[in-house]
Amino acid sequence: MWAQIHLFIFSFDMKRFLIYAFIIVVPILTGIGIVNYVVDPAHVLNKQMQRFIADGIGQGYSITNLINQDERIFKRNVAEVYSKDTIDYLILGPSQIMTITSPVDSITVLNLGVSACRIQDYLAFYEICKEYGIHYVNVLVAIDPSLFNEEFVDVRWKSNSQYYYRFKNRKDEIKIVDDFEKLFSVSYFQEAIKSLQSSEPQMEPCYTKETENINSTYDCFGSLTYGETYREMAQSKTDSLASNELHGSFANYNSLSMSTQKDFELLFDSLRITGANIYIVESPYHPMLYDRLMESKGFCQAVEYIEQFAVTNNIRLCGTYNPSDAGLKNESFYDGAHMKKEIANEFLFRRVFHNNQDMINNFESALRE
Amino acid sequence: MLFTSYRFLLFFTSLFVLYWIFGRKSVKVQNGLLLVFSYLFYGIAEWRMLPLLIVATIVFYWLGIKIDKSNNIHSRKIFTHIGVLLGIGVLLYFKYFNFFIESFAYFFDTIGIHTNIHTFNILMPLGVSYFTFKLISYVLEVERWKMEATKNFVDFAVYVSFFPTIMAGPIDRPNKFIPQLQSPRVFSIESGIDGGQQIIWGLFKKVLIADNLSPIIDGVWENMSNYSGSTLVFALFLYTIQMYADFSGYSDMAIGVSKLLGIRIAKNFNYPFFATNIKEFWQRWHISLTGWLTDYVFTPLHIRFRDLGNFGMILAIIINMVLVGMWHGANWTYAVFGLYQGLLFIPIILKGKMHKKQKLQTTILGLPKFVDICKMFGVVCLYAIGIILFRAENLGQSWEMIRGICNLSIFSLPQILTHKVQWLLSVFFILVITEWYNRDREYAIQPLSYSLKSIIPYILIDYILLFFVIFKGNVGANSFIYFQF
Repeated sequence: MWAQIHLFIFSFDMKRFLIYAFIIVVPILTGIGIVNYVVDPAHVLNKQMQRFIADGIGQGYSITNLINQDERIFKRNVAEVYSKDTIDYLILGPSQIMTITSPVDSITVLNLGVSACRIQDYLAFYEICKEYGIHYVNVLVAIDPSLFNEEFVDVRWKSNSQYYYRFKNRKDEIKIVDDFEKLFSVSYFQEAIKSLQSSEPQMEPCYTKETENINSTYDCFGSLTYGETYREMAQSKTDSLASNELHGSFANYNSLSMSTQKDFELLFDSLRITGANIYIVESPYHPMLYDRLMESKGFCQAVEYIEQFAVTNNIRLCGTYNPSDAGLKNESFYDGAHMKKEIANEFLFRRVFHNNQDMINNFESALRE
Repeated sequence: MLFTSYRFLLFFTSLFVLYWIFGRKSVKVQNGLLLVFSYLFYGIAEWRMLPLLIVATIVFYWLGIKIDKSNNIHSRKIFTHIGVLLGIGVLLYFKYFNFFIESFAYFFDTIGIHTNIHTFNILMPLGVSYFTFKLISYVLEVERWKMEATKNFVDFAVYVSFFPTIMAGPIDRPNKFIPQLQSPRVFSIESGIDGGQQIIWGLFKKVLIADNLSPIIDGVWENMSNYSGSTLVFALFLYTIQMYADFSGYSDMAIGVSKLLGIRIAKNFNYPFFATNIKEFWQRWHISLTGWLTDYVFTPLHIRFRDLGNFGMILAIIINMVLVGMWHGANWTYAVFGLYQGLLFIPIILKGKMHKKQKLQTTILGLPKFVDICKMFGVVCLYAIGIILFRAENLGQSWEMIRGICNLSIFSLPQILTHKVQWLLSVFFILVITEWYNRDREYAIQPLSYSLKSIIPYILIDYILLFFVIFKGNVGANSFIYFQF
């Protein structure tokens, strides 16, 4: 065999070709790797920053200036803080519910919502909670209908890929590929270069007791408060965002992904085993965006599927995608998909449980206390 | 697994090392590895359809042998017809079944008969349009005595499932591909560097041009009512550029990867923007598909209709082009796109220029003459108009686009003429110029010699291209346009 390998490497043509490939590939990969490791704009490779953030959350602080921070790793750190605790409400889902927080101190909420949440994220966070021994009484699973769109590819879930693969009982070797991809990621390299070129001083993550700051802030429950620019956006800008927001996750959405449906069912099977009360949450869209979404075949199919799934599996369904059913207007939104923080919280804790007297009673009594 | 991902790099490097270490002198090992890795590649993308690919391969392998062994023409034809019908059947079932059901239901609804027909959730196998065409081509070539049926199943299976081409072509012909598998491939520095260069060139076109244009064009198509007529027209041209950069970029990478394994596959593009009429354009664009349809559809039809003179040829061309359109997907937009392209051939046929080859003359600077530049631009314009149908989700959306274009706002400045678009257009302009001066080569940066001295400038070019890819490319997980077909 060694003779074969020797022949392979040292045959005249192969030797020259390997030199050619080496000259092209190695300096480029090395350059990318070094820049990514040294600059590390989202602190993906720097574990110390993650520790710093987790400590702050553990002490009950909010964290602001998490610019470029990998949201999924951050949420994992937040979850770690709640290891072995019992949580009243665990929240999983997309950015629409990231602003949901605890209404009163006596109710604990763990918000593990992330932007562009894919099915892999749900499964990964389920696995993370399992690993950290987090118990939850209620679990709110918010679902964006674009979840089942196979045409929409977003690979951010890979930040927690090891947990997803663990859930799927796949081998850990894939983690090595993921780590390699992170270190040599070209998109991360571009971010690193941008942060180096930026003339503005770098804002480092810091602890705060305030929830409303210049930049986005996460409280100790993992709930997001948007930064100043977003909070104070003019209504015309909001409406314009809503009317232009369709492309992306809903593009070419004509049928529901079979594999996502399978994983989706698997998620609820697993959640049922935990004994928690399960709720599926539908978060309303901006009226202008909703009108356009109704023209999307995939969107309508997905909504029908989600609602049918809830009925068939006897899962409580909270909320609606339709803003007029929820009594919401254009002014209730930051953009096409995101309700204002106070409205989102009001909507979830007061309106969506209107059919569930027990929950309202719990909530009201907690407020009285 | 996209060619532009690290996973593919890892996948391919593993194959490359095993292939050239253990398969250097053994055809069986080389072909066995190709087959295993091809099935692995397909299985990673869509494991549920792997059995279909394997069963189809077994059936057509058997049919090939049956055709070859048949002593009389009648039984040869019967087995061939079975093969062709099976191939078309697979394609019709997986790709067009729901389309026909929906069309029938719509038709009955329009004449007042309410139907209660449901469509089925049929999963379309990846690359079905490509591998069925390969399979059909195989039985036809054997039946026409252009090749002997291969007795080696592995060779045949590699031909059908060859991983660089299974997702989006080029559609290889068996008589060109299978003979290459019958002797051991020997690594040469020429094919190694040639392949490497072609991959880099494809990567540059795909990641820098196509992927950067993609979100801009998507934005316009999804919200066309918000844009002026001039912007919509401009977006059509940009989409033509995106399609070329995406598909030819993919093809270059597929060809380059194959060259690294010592295999030559069919060419798919031959500088289509230098065509001076639409006939020439289609001879240079997606060559492996148009060539396939020319051989198996247009030529037989043309012979059948020859008594009808020009009308016969027009009819044959229109049928052929409608099929080119329909091949892309189950949608009336593709059929009308094909019809439109077919109609553009009529003036050429009537002028008797169908079989004439036009040689381009150049100026002192080596550039094309002004008249030819105008003709080239005219061809691109004609193609871009057709793009309205190609890109639209349905005929209604095409009509909406046309209405959006045909108003006074067409005289305004395009709203998407941003710095980024201007920059991308400049890059594309440099690309076209580079391609023009090197149009006698297979691709624009193909080295002419592979000695150490002559390779150094190409390595510098590679660095420049990769520099742009890394710093300016849109490196998100963007799939290739032609994967959907």
